[in-house]
Amino acid sequence: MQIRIESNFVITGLEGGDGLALEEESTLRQLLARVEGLSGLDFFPRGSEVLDPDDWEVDINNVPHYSYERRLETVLKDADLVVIRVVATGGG
Amino acid sequence: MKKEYKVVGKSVERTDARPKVTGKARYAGDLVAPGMLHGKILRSPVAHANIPNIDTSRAIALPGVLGVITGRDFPGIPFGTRPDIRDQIPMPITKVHHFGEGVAAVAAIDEDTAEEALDLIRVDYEELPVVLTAQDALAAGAPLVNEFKKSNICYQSDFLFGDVEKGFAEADHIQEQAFSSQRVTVGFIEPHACLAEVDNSGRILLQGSKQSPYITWRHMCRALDVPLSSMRIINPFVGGGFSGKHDPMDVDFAAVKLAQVTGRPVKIVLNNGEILAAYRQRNAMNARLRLGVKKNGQITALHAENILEGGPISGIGPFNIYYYGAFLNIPYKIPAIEYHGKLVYSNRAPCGTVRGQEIVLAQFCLDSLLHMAGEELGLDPVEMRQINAVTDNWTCANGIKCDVSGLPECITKSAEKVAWKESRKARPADRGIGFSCASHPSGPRLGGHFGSAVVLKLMEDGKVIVTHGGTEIGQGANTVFCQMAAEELGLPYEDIIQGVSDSDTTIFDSGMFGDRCTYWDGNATIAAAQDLKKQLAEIVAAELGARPEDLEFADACVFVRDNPEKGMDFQRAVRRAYYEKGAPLYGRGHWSATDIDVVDWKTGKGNLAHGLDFIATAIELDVDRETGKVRLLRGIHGDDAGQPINPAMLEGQVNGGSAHLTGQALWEDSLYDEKGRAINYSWRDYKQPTAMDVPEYVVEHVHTHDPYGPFGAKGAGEASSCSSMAAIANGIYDAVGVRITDLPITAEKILAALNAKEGK
Repeated sequence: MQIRIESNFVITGLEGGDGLALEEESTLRQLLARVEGLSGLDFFPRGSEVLDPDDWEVDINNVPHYSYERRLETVLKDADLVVIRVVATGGG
Repeated sequence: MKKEYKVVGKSVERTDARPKVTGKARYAGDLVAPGMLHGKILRSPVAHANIPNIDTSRAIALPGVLGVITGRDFPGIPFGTRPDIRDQIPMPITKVHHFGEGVAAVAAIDEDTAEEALDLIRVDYEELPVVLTAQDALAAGAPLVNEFKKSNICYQSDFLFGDVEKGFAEADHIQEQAFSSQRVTVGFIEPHACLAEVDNSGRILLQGSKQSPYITWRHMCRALDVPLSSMRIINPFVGGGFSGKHDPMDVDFAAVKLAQVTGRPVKIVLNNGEILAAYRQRNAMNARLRLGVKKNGQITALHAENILEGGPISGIGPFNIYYYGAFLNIPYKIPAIEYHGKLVYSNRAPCGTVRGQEIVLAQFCLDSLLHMAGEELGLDPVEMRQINAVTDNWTCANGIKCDVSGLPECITKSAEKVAWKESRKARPADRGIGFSCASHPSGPRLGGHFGSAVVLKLMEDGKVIVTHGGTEIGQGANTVFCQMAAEELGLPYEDIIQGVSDSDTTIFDSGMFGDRCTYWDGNATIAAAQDLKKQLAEIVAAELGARPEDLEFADACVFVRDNPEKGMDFQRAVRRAYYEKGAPLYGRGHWSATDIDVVDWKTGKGNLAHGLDFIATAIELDVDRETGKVRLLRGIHGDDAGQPINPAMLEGQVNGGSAHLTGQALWEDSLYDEKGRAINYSWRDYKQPTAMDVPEYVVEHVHTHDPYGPFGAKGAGEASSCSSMAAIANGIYDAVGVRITDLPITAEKILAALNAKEGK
């Protein structure tokens, strides 16, 4: 299945904007692991099991992922839209 | 009809004027605590080296030394502005990255003992090749600078706004030029300093000289691996920031860690040599811009490539890359822009930014290039800027909407005041006038925490205490918030008292940067005052025989609208609240520009900010052909900051920004030798402008009313720093016909260009 991915920053390996092809029944966590593998990003530093809301906002079909009952274990469907936003701390 | 204000728009005395001029203001370096120790930091004598071993045993054995720490005493958790680019730790663990980097710190009973202990620490340095320039960083096989990254390209952005190909096709003339700029220090007067304490529960208290204390606080808690509630941060008086005090520095981390290790308060105060050698500087730039223009001077397209060399950490570098590109859209109407920006690592001092952020560098390039194109086409530089100036309700190519622009009037005023037309008829030899414009947003939404909040506490004597999370760093924020509160509450300015910035009691703020504080916290101040009035009105309405919504506050009274005889004085109303109701009166207000877009790092598109402030700068100067020396004669700033809240302070901001960047334009240069060691890290050798160097300044206020700004105000203080360098470069060209595109424009460079021009 093909998952659409949008972001507010450049994700290395996904510059083309085509999203990612995943096996059926893949979860959001598995998708993020694929993105990590492509880009070198680290969504779960130091063994964390959850996304730090100070760092990342991840939505599935425009709904925050934590609103889904299974959160990161939510099973994705073909053509789902996953939005990954980086959260900044600071200013100039 | 224009509203008449009683406090806003008046040059009232600053809230901090008297303690500062009488020497009573307490800065971080003045703080003391019972049992306090003094900390010192050992610094790397090399720019790039592995540090396999640090032996502190002799230092800790020295009588009077109570603690010695290194990077290994910290959890090793990297911090940074974005989770994808965290590349900094409190102190180095495996390698040093730049000359002067702190490698160990000592706490002792006095400064001399701490200094002596530093000499007893043995650090093994295994020197590595250094990366000093962007060219070095991008060279094949270049040594990697940052151990958290696999490339020396720290960050990059590629933006495309509009149809650039079409824009250049429509141009009658294309002007292209490379520009470069040097490393400069930030230039605040008060050095980094802090006092750290740890209480019996392990809770940390840090009192430091911080520009954006809550940014420091968040980063420090992450790197120390403690929850936010385990640390309290208080800002004493701050002696200038200019973007150099946002981040936590090793001084902050070292003081906290030494306080934890020793169980005693620890104060560290750096000296200016340490800061000039090893702390935040502005990125060096290598840029190439191409500008398409019509015969009448109208811009059709812009192509910009920019590489910033930023030292060994990203810091706020992504913001610098972003600002440079996204804000090429202002102050001129440019229908199409292509931008490619890179930030690269190096083994020079870490960069943050300096006043105006990297809009300063972008505008130096753009406005120099505009002048060059005008010269080629035989166009008047003033008319050329008028043709392109952003006007009211203009939507930029990337989507920024300019609500109100006083720029055309700013250009007119500065040209008239500097007597531009007259100068074209007759002027002394080697004298010239240079123009440049600029615009700066009043605080974009960079993401994360970006709201502002203010609390007003009404005291029973009728005075009001303002607390906010913005920071008074010398720019006058506290004064303007007190003015706004007084205006809205109908009280004398003297009845408003500035409270303390303390994370335990103050509402947090995202930070003092980007011309945002007056605008965002100012709106929050008004909202807090309105909330306070509402509460008070509900308490006294019945006694006045009116509905709460029919009461007004003015002249320290509460009265029924259109019936001023029916009212009571403000203090009596307050006593009704406290004595008869026991009602605590706290006005709470918050504000955020939620109708603008959060920064899109990927595209640079969106309506990024309200409150674009504008400036048109004209600088008159002359050049000594024998020496190449530039003498600045007059600086005229037509300035649109909306409704000035405090005109005298606004002029100080405008003139200060211009004077500050005069240094980068003409003199300042943080120099390094071939091994990356800083050379000129003293105020004797590093030339910042003094009062003797800057010209007579005149600010011509252009009053506009920003629809979203507090009382119609916009941010202020950074636009003049963005306009001044190109104005100087253009003025030098106007005076003697040589164009220097490599900052600083030293006398030597001018002389060499004059000689080359004359075939010598």
